[in-house]
Amino acid sequence: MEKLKPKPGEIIPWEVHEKEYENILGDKEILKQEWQNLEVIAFRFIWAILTDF
Amino acid sequence: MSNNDIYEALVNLEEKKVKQLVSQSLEKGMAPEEIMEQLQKALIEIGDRFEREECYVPDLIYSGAIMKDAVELLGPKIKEKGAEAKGKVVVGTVYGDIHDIGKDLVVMLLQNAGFDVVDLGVDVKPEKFVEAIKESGAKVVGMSCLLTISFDAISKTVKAIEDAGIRDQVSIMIGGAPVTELVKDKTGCDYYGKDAIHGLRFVSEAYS
Amino acid sequence: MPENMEKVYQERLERYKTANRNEKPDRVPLRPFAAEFTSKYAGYTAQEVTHEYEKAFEAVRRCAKDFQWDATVVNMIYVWSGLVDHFGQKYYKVPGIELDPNVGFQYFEPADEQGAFMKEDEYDALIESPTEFLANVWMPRISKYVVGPQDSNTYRNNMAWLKGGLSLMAYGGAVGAANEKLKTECGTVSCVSGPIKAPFDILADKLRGFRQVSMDVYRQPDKVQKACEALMPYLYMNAKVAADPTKQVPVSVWLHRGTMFSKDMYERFFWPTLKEIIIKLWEEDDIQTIWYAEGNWDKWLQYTKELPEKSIIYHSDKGDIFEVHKQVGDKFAISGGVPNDLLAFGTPEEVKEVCKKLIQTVGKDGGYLMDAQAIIQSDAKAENMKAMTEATLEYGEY
Repeated sequence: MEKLKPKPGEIIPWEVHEKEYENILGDKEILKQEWQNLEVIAFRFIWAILTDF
Repeated sequence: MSNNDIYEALVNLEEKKVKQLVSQSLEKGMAPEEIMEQLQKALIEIGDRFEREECYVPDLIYSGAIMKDAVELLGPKIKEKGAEAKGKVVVGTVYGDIHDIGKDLVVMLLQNAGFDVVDLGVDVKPEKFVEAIKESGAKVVGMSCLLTISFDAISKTVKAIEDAGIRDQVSIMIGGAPVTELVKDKTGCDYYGKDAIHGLRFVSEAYS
Repeated sequence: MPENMEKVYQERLERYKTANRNEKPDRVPLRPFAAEFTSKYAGYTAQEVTHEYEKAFEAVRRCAKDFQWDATVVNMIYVWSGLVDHFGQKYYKVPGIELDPNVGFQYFEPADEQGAFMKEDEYDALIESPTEFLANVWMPRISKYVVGPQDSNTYRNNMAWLKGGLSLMAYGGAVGAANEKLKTECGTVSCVSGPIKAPFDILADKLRGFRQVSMDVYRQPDKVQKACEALMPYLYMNAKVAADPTKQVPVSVWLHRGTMFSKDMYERFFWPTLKEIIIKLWEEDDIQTIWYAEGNWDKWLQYTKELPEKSIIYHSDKGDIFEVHKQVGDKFAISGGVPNDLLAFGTPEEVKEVCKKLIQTVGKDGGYLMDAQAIIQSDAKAENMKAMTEATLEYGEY
């Protein structure tokens, strides 16, 4: 299985997800921003289980 | 190979070397008892070093693991012989507390030193302690805890031992991170061991 | 919020922040880290406060009001066992399930290699991609429901991830609301935000287990070191994203196993990566850390001293707080010092004496926060907690 190697603060790197779009007709930055906002929360879930729960 | 090689290797925590030397010594016809003696001497030395803060808990754990493998190599004979115990000790973590690292360390040290340990595990109810003391006739009981809330369980266990009429037969030692001399006095115990080695010393004296 | 409560809160926040910066506030702040004491005081069982977090928050508010705490932890019984039930972690014994309803939850550490949540030959996988290792390898081992990518998927697996995520969101939201209530109803500051764990501690506690790590440091020391280095940036980010965005209150590091190892091992495995996390949070993010030194950390004071001025608040547990003050009091604020056995077995007069001494020595020039040595559990007597408050109000003014 290919590793995605997410960095701190992400779980599925934007660079990986970006390639999954067939086409982007509008503003890519909007997609990126929204993607990364939730990435942080999901990252926190994984690491919160390790450190807090 | 000099006679002290196994001792030296264990004291220096050289895992592979201990295994190798024990196997070689057995092949060469060295008596398992003699090897065992060296191993036990090494553990005593490690214990002394621990007291002098020259080595630490992980060293005790690691040396215990090396020792365990070495004793395996010596075969069942020496294990039986080892069981001709110096005395019996009941050990457990008190009711409501499930921490076992400190307790296990005490058990390991006592066993390696030749005591017969009744290990009650963790979260042990007062009546279980009483039962085990009665059944084994142990002269020492060790209670472990890691939580300050366990002080109450210690008091209750001491009381259960008193109520059972066996308080005079048994010395009670306690240990664990939150335990202090004050806790020992207030809960009616006889001895507070600040670490596992002190626990071993106390048991050894009780049986000397 | 009533105007007078707002005023009380602002005064306390200022008092807390000033003391944290190792400066002199109007009075020594009372900042107890109280866990099961609060539930006992409020009349709840351990099961109630562990499983119903609103009761835990309420218990803290009862104490904050009655004991006039300036700052405290909004819920020191930090494991909400509801989340544990939904996601299925195996490593907790929970009051009302495996434990007596009156006994607090406890972490149950695997005793051997067979039970270890990370195996001895998995260091490379952890180092290569820590988050993926946690999700794909570690979580299937620690959860009753989660399966790994190599297993066939199950309904329970899908639902565990869904419910786990939702649980954390729900709890996070509830903590936010509870912080606000603590402020408006009691005028008390919620004193701590995100968590830091030393990379080596997390390896020893939750990944390999202490007994396994004790052997790894001899058998494969390079891997242990690399694992700590690999975990470091993730644990930094984990603390940063959970920290108070307004940066009013510090994060905390719960120090655990560092004192059990030799100087060489502390220097090699424990200290460098922890130091880097604390310095990054301070220098890049302006976030202070409560150095919660569980046990006796005096022997590593020389290392702690290396941290930048004001970057930590040094909490002293079983160490000699007067010695700590002598050695690092000019650099960092200090908290703690009231012995837990005294709170359990001593008299109010004895407690007051100790508090007075702490204020007059450690707190002499400011930069001191009143607290017990260790987290306050149900063994502490209410009259002794009251004595701690009285002594602080009586002797703590500057």
